Amino acid sequence: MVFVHRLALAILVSVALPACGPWGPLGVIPGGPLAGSAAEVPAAEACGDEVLLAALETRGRWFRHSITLFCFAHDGVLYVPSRNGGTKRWTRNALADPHVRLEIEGKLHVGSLVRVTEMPRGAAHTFLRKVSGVEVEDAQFLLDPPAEGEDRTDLWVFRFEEEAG
Amino acid sequence: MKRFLIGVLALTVLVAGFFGWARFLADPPFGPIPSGRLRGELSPPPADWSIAEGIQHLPVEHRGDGLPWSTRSWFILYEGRVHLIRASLFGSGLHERLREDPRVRVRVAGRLYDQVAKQVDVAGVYSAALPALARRQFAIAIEGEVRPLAGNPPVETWIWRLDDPPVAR
Repeated sequence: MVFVHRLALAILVSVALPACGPWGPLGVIPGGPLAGSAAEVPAAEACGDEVLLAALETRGRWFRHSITLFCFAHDGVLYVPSRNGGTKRWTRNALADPHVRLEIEGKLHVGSLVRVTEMPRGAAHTFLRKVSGVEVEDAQFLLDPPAEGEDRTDLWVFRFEEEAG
Repeated sequence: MKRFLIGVLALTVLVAGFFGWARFLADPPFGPIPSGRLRGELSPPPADWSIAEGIQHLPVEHRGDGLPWSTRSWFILYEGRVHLIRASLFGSGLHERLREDPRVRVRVAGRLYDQVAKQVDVAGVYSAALPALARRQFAIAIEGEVRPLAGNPPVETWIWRLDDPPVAR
């Protein structure tokens, strides 16, 4: 009977705890609250050319919800894009409550997200240099919703505004 | 205590059942979780792959580790053939499985097509195909020349051209 109890406890711990946190996302699997130490450098600086991914924690109605996402910085501003953003839970959370925490390389940045409807000229170049390793003559983000039947992702982009120290 | 045990057991069965369904039965694959065999009518390869235009992700089934494993893959049409694209950002599982066994099955408009994946030089295809890929997957409109930067890009990209399988004799 002791064995059964221990087994049940082990199953409970392994099933329940990852859903409760404090755990960030595990790869593509969303998680709960983020854990980490306070950042010492601005988020835009922390998300340099070699840093591709960050973890973002948003506030849902009941729970903190964290996911892994791509980040990039342009002209000292950190951006987090979302492909097909209208279908994502974290974007809905961010619109309802913009207060978020961002974990980059194990360090936590506190701030808020603001959805942008127009990206500065050159931001797409920065993105393509970082993701695809290419230089292009001209590039521009298309942030308007795709037309019906158009096979273009509905890209949402948020600007991260970090709280001062 | 008995109720507690039953509750834990029920929760475990529920979680295991969900992952079992997602891994083997979900079609199309459920979110990021790979699924099993794709369902559809197996058909001879089409002469014209433009039938795949308008699709954001191509359902692809492969069997690199013995069991059917299906995912939704980025792809482009280049020189009349489907090219699968995978960035290392999303893991190297597909790369490893296709190295083990290059046979794949793709689904377009409910029909299944057997193909063989052949890895191709990224630089050769990427520059030509990037504008279409960037528009579809990143919502970026590219105009003019595309030049690869010197050195290794932070995100490694793999590209496979899908060829018709050799005809059985």
